[in-house]
Amino acid sequence: MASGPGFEPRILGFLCNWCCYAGADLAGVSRFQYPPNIRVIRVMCSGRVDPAHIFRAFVTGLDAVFIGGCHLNDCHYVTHGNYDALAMVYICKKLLAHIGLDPERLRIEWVSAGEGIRFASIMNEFVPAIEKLGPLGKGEGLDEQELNFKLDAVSKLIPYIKLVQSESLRVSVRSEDAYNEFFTSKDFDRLFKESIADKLAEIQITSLQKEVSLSTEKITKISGLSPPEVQRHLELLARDRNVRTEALDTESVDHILDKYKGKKNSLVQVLLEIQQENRWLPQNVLDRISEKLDVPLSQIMQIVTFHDTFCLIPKEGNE
Amino acid sequence: MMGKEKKTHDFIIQIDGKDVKATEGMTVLEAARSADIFIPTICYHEKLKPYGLCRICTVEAEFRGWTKLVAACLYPVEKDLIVRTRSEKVDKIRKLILEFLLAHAPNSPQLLDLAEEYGAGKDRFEKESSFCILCGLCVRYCAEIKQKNAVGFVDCGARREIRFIPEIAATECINCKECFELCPTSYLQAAFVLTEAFSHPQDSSPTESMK
Amino acid sequence: MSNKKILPKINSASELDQLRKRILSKKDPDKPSIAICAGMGCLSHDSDRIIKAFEEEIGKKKLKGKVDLRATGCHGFCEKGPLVVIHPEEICYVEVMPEDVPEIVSQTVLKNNVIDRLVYADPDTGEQAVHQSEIPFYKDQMRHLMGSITKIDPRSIEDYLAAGGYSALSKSLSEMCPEEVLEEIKKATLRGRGGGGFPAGRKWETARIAPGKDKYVIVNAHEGELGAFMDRALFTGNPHSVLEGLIIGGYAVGSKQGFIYTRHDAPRLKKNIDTAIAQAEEFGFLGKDILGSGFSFHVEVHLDIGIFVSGESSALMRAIEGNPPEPRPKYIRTSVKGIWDSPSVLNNVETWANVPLIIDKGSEWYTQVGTENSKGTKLVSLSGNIVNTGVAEVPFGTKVKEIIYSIGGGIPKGKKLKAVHFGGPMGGSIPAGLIDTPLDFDELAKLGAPIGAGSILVLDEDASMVDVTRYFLDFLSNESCGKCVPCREGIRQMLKILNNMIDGKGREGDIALLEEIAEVTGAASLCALGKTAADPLKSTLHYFRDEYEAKIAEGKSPVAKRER
Repeated sequence: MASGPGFEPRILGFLCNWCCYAGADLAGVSRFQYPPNIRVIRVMCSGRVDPAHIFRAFVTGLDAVFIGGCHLNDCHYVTHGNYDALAMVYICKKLLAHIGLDPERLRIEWVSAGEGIRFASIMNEFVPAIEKLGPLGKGEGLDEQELNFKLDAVSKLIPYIKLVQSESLRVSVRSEDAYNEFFTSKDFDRLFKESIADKLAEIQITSLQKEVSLSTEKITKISGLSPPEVQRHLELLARDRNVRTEALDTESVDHILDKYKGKKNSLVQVLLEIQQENRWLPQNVLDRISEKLDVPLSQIMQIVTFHDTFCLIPKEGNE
Repeated sequence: MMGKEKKTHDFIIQIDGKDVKATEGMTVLEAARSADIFIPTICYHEKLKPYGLCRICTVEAEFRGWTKLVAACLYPVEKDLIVRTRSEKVDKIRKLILEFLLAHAPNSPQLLDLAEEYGAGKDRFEKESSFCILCGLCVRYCAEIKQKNAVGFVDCGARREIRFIPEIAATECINCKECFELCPTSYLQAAFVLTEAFSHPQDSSPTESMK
Repeated sequence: MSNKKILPKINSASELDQLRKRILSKKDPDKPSIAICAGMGCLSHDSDRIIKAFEEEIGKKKLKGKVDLRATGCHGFCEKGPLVVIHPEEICYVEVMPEDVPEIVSQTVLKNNVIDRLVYADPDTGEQAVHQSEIPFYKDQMRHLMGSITKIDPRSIEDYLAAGGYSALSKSLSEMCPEEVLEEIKKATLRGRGGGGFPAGRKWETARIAPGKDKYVIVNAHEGELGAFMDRALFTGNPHSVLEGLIIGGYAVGSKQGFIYTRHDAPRLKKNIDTAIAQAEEFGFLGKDILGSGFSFHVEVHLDIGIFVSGESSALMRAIEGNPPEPRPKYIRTSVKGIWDSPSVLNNVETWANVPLIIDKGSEWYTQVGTENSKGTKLVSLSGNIVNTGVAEVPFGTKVKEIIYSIGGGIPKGKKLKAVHFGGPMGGSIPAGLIDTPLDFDELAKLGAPIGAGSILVLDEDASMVDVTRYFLDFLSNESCGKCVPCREGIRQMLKILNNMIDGKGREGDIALLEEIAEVTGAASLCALGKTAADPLKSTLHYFRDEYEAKIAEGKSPVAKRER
């Protein structure tokens, strides 16, 4: 979708103090022209930039983010922070693409202190490119509500994503080729899907659940996931107690508990009986059992999820 | 207290050729530690009941001519027991266990330390997305020491995971987090921030608050 | 048909004798009775419609009271179900349909005429066998435990009493002291039938002398082994036999509380167990002061949550305590520290069912059957590429060849036998060349194919041993509790390699890696599930290594690569 006339992209730039910022400074002092659309924040190292910063920029409604650091292997710190920035950008790009935004809105470049011309030419290329993409979201055909919804989900998940990155998505060799190889590999796709994409879907489903009732059909429509996928996520959410379920009247539960005289080791029999009558186990039922039998909730959750005998959400056809 | 410390050493067992004094009711691991003999552990913690799930403390235990492979943290000592903490078989087991776990958490300092000793390779097996090694230290600590049961296991087999109970975590964990330093990887922390992400007040929206 | 009158509690051995005499005197040996198999296999072929059809026909012909009708447990010959046996002649009809019922009643029940088309005929020779004992499937069996199934309605304790039930209990309580009962079981060298083959007498003795005020005896009715369906058959068909064994066991060990741990997804079995317990309590075989002996015993039924690992003894005991079914290492035997750290004796359904037999007939009689180290009979479930699937009972020592060809009827479609797999996912296979091996705990274990619980999977020349191994590992990957690393991760990795191999992505070095993982998983796992998870793999690699190599080669062939 072409941008309307007079669209001026608003871009946030994180430039590292030692190289890129100096380079941008040089460009300015040398009067190398480049568009004024970029607002600059100076950081001590490009590795300092956090996904939270990037997504806060997008949440605020900015159209693109630029990160400028020292050339690879020239980082002024022994920790080679610019490699960390590179990894972080690969992941953020994947996140952007995953939620339907053009990953080209995030860019990372290496500019040394003496490369004023290079900085200007990058900007002269980047700004028009973003102009062409159009305003954030609108350019990709997302409406505002949908965009905000997805950005919210990513923002909430960022602390988790950072930990996943440091443990699961680390590249052991500090070389551009190695980083490129890993982040374009099937392995990365798989790891991303299993550890991050799935959780994103779940966060979105929990937010949806607050607004609409727990109907798989509605969630399928809005989230764009297939019905079996939605079902799988709902089951996982129920397992982790992250989704609210309808409450069952506790009288019938108490009745069954009394039958077994409140014996602690009758736990499984009680659960089986309730499951048979009600077809699934609402959260408040598990809470009640935990309370009355004085069994820790974590133990009940372990038993209930130990095998697929028990259902924690109403299955299609049971509703 | 004085009476408790004055234990009578009931008998002698042999560990790696050394004679070690052992008391009835001790485990092989406890006996080894009392004699400064090292046996690697992952899921063991002095304050917790031994669980025997990582199996890296496997040692050879010979009694009356019969040798078997046992978990040192659980196996009770008995008179005339001969223990070998290293052998071809034991090393083979430890190497493979480490390789299994490194597929999950290749950056865990604890695992990497041991990996060096046993020649375990980080990339032997395809990388797994879950970086929890399911040592259970967090679960057991919260159950036995804090008695809050804020975190537990869910699911079974290869799908097993640790999860916080959101309601309990919201009130108890903020001021505690004592289990965090027990975690050999950072999965516990990840599980915790995940719980926070999900139970973040549903009404708070970063985009809304920006407006 | 059960007697609706509530009889007074039996308070002594002599009262029991009198009751038994009364029941037997009311039975007319010439009165026709129809036994319809309501075992799992026949039920899935609508045998319950046949039962209803018989009830209707009996009503229509006004034969109520003149003909006994009973829905019994599994007759064993599942391949030819639904099965109907008509006593007293013992005429056996196979593959019966509801439409056949009126003719059966009018011809066979009333006039003793045999209906030819419903009689078993040998598939090769066409030779007919009218009576159950003449049918080749049954001829070579020794049905000590299963023989009375067609005469017993599992929901009628009177039928059990008429067949001699509870006489062993009576004998134990009135004529023997607990130590004598224990001694008899030891002399019989009864070995556990659940897979371990551990001497039951020794287990009982350990529990008896172990310190502890409370002791427990448990029936492991959690039959989870793939391809094993005989425990269900026995327990559903004759629940009292197991119950009686349990009570005698309780007496011998010094336990006052018994547990039955069974699957939650077998409603008929649960109903029969509950009915049997209720009836036993009513008659005074359970409860306080049984038969006036001063011995009191109660039984509680526990259901499982559906996972295979909960059949492992230490996991089972955790489950009875109300904990998740996670195994614990058995450095201290569960017979010393089991449920709630008290001495607990866990035995399999079939093991318990052998107990009344041993006490009734004596250990000398019992030890006449079987081999030197494996006495008595064994229930086996035949499945796979075999003509006669079902549950059979054979004496130990029977050659595997005989089980497959004489009882099993050989391989269908004229195919050649490739392998016989024992013990399901925790067992192993023997190639066709070794079928002269006798059915024996130790002989089969030596070949790497331990008998396990008794499931026998027959594989013909078209079967892929790699696929079969993968099938078992896949099953275990969903049934492992996930507690310990070697099992959880080992199974996961072995399965990955096998899946890749089968998908044509096998690599050089896969077999060596599989062997390494199998060794570690077997050596370092916490419980029997992990320890034996790689056994099918080990045995198929031993006898059928070429199949694995072929699979890897297949994947490397240019054709396969092109197809990918």
